[in-house]
Amino acid sequence: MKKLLGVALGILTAIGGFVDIGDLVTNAQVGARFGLSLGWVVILGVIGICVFAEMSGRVAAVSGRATFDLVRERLGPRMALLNLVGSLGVTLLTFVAEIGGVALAIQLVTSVNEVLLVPFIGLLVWAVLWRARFSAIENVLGLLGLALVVYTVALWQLGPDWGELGHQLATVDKPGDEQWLTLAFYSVALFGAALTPYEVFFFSSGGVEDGWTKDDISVMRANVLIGFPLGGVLSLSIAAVSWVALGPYQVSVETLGQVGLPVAIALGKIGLAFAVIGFVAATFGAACETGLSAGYSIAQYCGWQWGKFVRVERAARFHLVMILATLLAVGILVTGVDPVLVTEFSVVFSAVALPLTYLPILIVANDPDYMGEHVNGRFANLLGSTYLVLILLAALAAIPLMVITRMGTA
Amino acid sequence: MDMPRRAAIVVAVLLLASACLPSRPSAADWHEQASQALEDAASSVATAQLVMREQRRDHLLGRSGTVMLVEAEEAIGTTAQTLDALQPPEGLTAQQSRVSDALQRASGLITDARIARVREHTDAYRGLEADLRRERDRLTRLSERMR
Repeated sequence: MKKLLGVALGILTAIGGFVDIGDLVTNAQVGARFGLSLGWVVILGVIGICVFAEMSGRVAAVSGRATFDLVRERLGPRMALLNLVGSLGVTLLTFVAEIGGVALAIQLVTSVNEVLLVPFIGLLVWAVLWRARFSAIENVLGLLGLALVVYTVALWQLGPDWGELGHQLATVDKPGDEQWLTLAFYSVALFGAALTPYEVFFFSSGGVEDGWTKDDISVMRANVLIGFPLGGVLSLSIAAVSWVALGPYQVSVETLGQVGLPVAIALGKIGLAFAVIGFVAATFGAACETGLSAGYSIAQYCGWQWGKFVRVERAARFHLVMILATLLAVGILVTGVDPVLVTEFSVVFSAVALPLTYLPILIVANDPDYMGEHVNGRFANLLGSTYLVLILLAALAAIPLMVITRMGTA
Repeated sequence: MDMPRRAAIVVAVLLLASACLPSRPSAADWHEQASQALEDAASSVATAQLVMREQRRDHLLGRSGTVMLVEAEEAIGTTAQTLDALQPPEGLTAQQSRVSDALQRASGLITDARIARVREHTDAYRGLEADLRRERDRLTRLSERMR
């Protein structure tokens, strides 16, 4: 019974923790403009993150070490440095966006300017990273993130034409006046949002924090293979609700308020309250994850003691990295930069960094010296290799598409 | 002063001078950018229209309606400013004026909505919603004519 509850908690946490500011904004933007025409990209992205998160989790459970740690050992410091540079830049950009997202969510209901809120939120994020137990960060914020289920409820309440939504999902139904290149740009952005590098670093390091062993592989798989796809349903709900509520008015989503407006239309104040709770939980949770990922990446590359499972004094440099990352993020946000714009850039650059992040994971997961009998099977390798091709295509196309389509405004 | 240094100074002066001049798009580019600006403005007006409707239905929590209206106001302001910074090509001054007036009118309407919301003039919400709906239609038609 206790194990069942543990599995259920893990799945619920995975659902609630799946969505971050990148998923919120990108899915709402794409949904309002294209409906569920790019829903297949979300599904593709969810399968991809399941494939690589399962590999990362398995690596952590079998070896007792985090993926990045092993990448450095297995592939050498140069490859690890390339991996670090590629993923750390995106992780820090995402960290900025997430802290900004928390500020925007609170601004939405209080009207206090986000720039004034950012220093306090930065302080709170750092305090949680410093003092809160890892399991508390995971579970509390993951469960509160379940408030975003309100989008699925809102979709039901709006009573859409399910046939039309299904047709959009099944076919790539490009609106007449849109260009294929713009559709391609948003496909890359959605793909990048689903596969952001920090997710796998956090997942594998988190596995070490939680003390996973080989006995935990089945629970880890349940969390990933049930929790993440259900989290993907939330992403599709955000897109669909935006289409139904904002599409007829041709609203172009550029603010968090516009992301929340469809829920207010469907469910009124209570719905909007749930949405805002979900925004805060999702972005605060993701801010903690990205902050930790920045610390994990640098500490593991440099061979420093890391983790919240040791006393702060023993992992002083790990905590120092997180303090510096938080100060950097706050410093960038107080200049008044729009967090939604930062989010848009972060998902595109996420796509660029994907090959550097996921190729090493595939290599380590295939190494019998680390993985023993739990090395990748044929199916995992088939999926992993297929996704590497897709990831490479997305990485190569991201910047040119961003320039040609002027960030999708063309 | 040697030649490379003189050349570098001339290039620097030319670059700085060009940065102070307004962008000069071609007629086709200007039409495309004007159309996009009108579309973006229509989006801001539509957002304001929806906010007024949901405010009237008491569907918005706390100050969220005000925040959304302020954001729409800022967005349309930026849109108008960006388009005004473009030098209209020869023969398009009248069209530029028309587009600029349309953006100003729309911006003013969103400001009226924001003022009504902050002052809680609930009697004015329905009228403003209707005005915003008409303005959105006007902007959309003008945007299509610009293409």
